[in-house]
Amino acid sequence: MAMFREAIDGLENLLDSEIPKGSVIVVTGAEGTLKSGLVFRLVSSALAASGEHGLYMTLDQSKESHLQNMESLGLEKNESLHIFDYHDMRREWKNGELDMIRINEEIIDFYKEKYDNLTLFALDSLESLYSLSEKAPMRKNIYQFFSKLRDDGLTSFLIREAPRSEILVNRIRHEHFLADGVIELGVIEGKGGIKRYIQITKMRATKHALDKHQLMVDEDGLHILGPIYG
Amino acid sequence: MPEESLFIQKDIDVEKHGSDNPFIHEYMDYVDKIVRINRDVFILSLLQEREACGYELIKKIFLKWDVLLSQGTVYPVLYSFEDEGTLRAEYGRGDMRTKIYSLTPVGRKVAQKKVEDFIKAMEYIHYRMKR
Repeated sequence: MAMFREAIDGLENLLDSEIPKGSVIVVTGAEGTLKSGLVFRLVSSALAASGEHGLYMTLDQSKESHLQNMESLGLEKNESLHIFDYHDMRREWKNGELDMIRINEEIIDFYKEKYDNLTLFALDSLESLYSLSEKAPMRKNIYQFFSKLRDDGLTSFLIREAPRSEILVNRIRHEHFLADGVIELGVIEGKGGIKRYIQITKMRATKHALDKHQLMVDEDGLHILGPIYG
Repeated sequence: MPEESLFIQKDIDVEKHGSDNPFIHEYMDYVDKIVRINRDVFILSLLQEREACGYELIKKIFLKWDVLLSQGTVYPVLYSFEDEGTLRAEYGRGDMRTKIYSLTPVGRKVAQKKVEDFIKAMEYIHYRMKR
């Protein structure tokens, strides 16, 4: 089973026990808050410890560009993590709207068939998924997508771009109700200057800290420090 | 190009060939299943003829075998073959938008073997059914 508590230095202080297998976690935050880095690190490290396989779908960046970004954060890709980028598909089918639910399901099915111990999934990002989707309201179909991930036993991390204004007014989204967990990333300005933070606002079946904790990145990767107060 | 325009091509074919067009026959259900399940072999067989991007492969499979594969079933196969070293992907000359896939030297051997095995399997099934 994938071990997330040890995937990032300090995360064990936020989670009392492991994230249950098959949970769907939304990782939300404004731009530049390390959402991709955090998810990439969680998935990559958990795979290294478990020997299982994972699928990371990136809709905004090419695989090469994504890996370059991760490398710049001191994050390395595990061999068992398979990256699927939508870059080519987006460019080649630029005039057509895509049935993204069906396409995602088919891609997951392909990798599940290829690797019978595919247990982790990440999507970067939900906003891009919506923007590529057919006219039928994708947001209404997101329930079907979450169910598919749970039925397949995939512990999933779905990245969601949240405008700063939304975080300021504490607006709760449809996806947050459907998800088993919500991790919020952001920046906070205090006496010590601007700091990045991580906050677990929801995690079903797992006791967790509710405080905002400082999130730091250096050449060794990501670290979660003590609680911070704005 | 959207899938819709491929369907228009299919309508043109119906007009051109009339009701004798094979894709209206029931046995096309079997063709559909065979192509879908063995899409890796069909992709390799097309790439033996000529390099192509994902969109072109979907179109060629449709025009040649009347089976419309979804993007979600074709691109993972291409990426997987690329990771394994069977295919090489390069952007087209003067076109940084489209990734063109071609067989590597190793991939040529892999493709030849897979296509030959597939044809032999189909011939075997045919032979045993006729006996």
